[in-house]
Amino acid sequence: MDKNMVFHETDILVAGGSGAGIFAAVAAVEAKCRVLVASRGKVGKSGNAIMAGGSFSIDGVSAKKFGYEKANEKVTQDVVFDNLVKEGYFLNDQNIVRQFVEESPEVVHRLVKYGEKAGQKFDFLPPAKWFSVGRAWGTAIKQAALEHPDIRIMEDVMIVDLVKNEGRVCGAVGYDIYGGRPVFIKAKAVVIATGGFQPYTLKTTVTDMTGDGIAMAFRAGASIADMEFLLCFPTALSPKRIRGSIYPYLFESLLGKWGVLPLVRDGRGDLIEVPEDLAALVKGSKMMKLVSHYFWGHRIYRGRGSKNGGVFLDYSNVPYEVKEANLEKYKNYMSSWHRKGYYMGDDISSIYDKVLNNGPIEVGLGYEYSNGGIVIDEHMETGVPGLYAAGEAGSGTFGAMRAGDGLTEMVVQGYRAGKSASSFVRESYDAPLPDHLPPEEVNKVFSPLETRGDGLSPIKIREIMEAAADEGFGFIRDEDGLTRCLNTIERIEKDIFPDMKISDRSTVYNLELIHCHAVRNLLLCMKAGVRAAILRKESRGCHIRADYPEVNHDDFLKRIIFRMEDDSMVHTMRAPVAEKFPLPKGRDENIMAYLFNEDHKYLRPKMR
Amino acid sequence: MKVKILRYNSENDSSPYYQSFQVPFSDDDEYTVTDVLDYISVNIDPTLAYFKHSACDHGICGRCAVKMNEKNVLACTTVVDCSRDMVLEPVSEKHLVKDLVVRIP
Repeated sequence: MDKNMVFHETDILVAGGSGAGIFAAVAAVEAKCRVLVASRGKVGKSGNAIMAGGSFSIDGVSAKKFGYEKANEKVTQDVVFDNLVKEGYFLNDQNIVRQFVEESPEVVHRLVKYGEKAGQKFDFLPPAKWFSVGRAWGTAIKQAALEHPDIRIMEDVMIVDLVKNEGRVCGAVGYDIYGGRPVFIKAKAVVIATGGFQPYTLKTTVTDMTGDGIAMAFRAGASIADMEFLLCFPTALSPKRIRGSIYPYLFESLLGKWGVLPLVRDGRGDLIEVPEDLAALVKGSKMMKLVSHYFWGHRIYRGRGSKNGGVFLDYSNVPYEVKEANLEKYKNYMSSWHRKGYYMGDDISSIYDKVLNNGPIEVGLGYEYSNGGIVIDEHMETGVPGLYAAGEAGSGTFGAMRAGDGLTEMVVQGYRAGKSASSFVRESYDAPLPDHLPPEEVNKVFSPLETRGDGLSPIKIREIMEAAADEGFGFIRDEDGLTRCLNTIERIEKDIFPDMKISDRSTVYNLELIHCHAVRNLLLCMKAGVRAAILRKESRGCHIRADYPEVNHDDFLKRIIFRMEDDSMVHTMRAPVAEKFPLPKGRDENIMAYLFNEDHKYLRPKMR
Repeated sequence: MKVKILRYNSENDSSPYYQSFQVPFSDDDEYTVTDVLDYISVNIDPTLAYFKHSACDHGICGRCAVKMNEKNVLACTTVVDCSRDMVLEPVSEKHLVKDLVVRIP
């Protein structure tokens, strides 16, 4: 046993210190359980909540009850449910959607109140959403933690793997990133709240969304699903200093609402046009993201993107005065949260100039969210005794397309996971925790430092993986590209990763060590995603295949699920849980034609 | 451009020392200090330590501060002048963890 090992014991260990993690911890202390949060970064300053822009929403009836006069009561919980399922291409597990819709008002309202108490601004807009920015949500999450001093928090800790005893999860091992000491946290239950995975180069998330919790849960026996569905949207591509900024999406949704919508041109300068009826149908909804994905993505896939793999926004179609007036309005509105001329910490004043003076603005499709993750039920149970998952690390809420808010999912599932884990600890926990940690578990943490390979650094390996994901697992997919990507993954798994070279043997702030664990996790998630994308010979939501454009309900309205069997990843397929709506049959010509299919009674554009 | 970085790993080094790296960036694009550090980390020396865990890269988390040419800046939003040499040092000697990484309580 490592003499340096730091021990902690608690009832519930929460892995992840963003919204899902802190709300799980709040529920746990309210249920009088001991809880410890292990966060990769600093609470309130890490995780994807701080990266978010835009808004998060609940139903209008609940918002009205909370006293928001502008709420639109026609947007009932039924309407929210309908839109989530239909815009999720019916792949959602409807029991999870129900939990999301019914339980979110209270929890989301609490998040707003914590934020306001901490001096943050949330602008309530109809039908029932709050507009704000990542820093405000981070501060709200931090405030929730501060108001519950019984929550123990360890920051800058990397959890490496879960530990099991007699079939139950009994804690986790990891290490302190700055101090370099191994950590073992014994717990009666564990909540995974570590977020999703992003295998691409252009992303809008924090830098290390490597599916750590998803991979750990998988290794501990949980199933994972929907890994082929990754959500992308308009994102800054150049200049390099603002690459990954989400200002283009904010422009589209806010300036667009006021009539300042640009022409979109491909790398040759040819227009990329969206049919008017489709543009009208998705206006103001998150489905705008899927429309950009579809139309821009196809053009880029056909080799017609810009040199950096994006498209150009061209505002020459909007009169100068209209642009000037609305840009001023936009800047004034955003100045509640940002320095003038900035979005987050990025200076975008040169972009404003380009809008006014018709300069081409190069933007791309950046990835923000993974729909897939750990299979859970409406109690956030994973099927592995003592293991729960919440937020982006889970799956099933949004099906094939996230039409609802990730921030809402984060808190409503986090809080529920904390409650469920507390009930488990208080009512059904009967196995004693082990006194000693098996040596192989301790070794996992720092064993990469013992490798004597002479190949590539794990930092370089991650770069290779991202390039492979961009190339074969990107916006528009086909059999050849996916197969090439899977071959690369398998080559990394078999040859490159085992021969990895780690030059720095220190345990203190070692980026090679962090990447080594992260790459192992990302590789697992990416492999599941690419394998599912190969199996799914249709298009659905944000999985778009050039060689199988049809939405094929008859053969593929099924979730593709992976689990570990004899050390290998095996898949099954099952129909999503259908509670309220029966599952549709037949086929739609493509994912856009699906939106116009009268059988789905989808047409509710004003109800979002 | 030439980038001189103050290195120190208490497990190997008796005292801090400067190491120079040649980074092939030019003024054809606008690069940040983080872009420079990422380039070195991926292509030249993966042992270089700088703040890069759960980092936002857009001036939100505020944890990537370094000293660039004697001035404290956020690495992720500060644009570098590719036409001149650059010196990077940790923002605090007292709270130094490794290379450019500090831990300020």
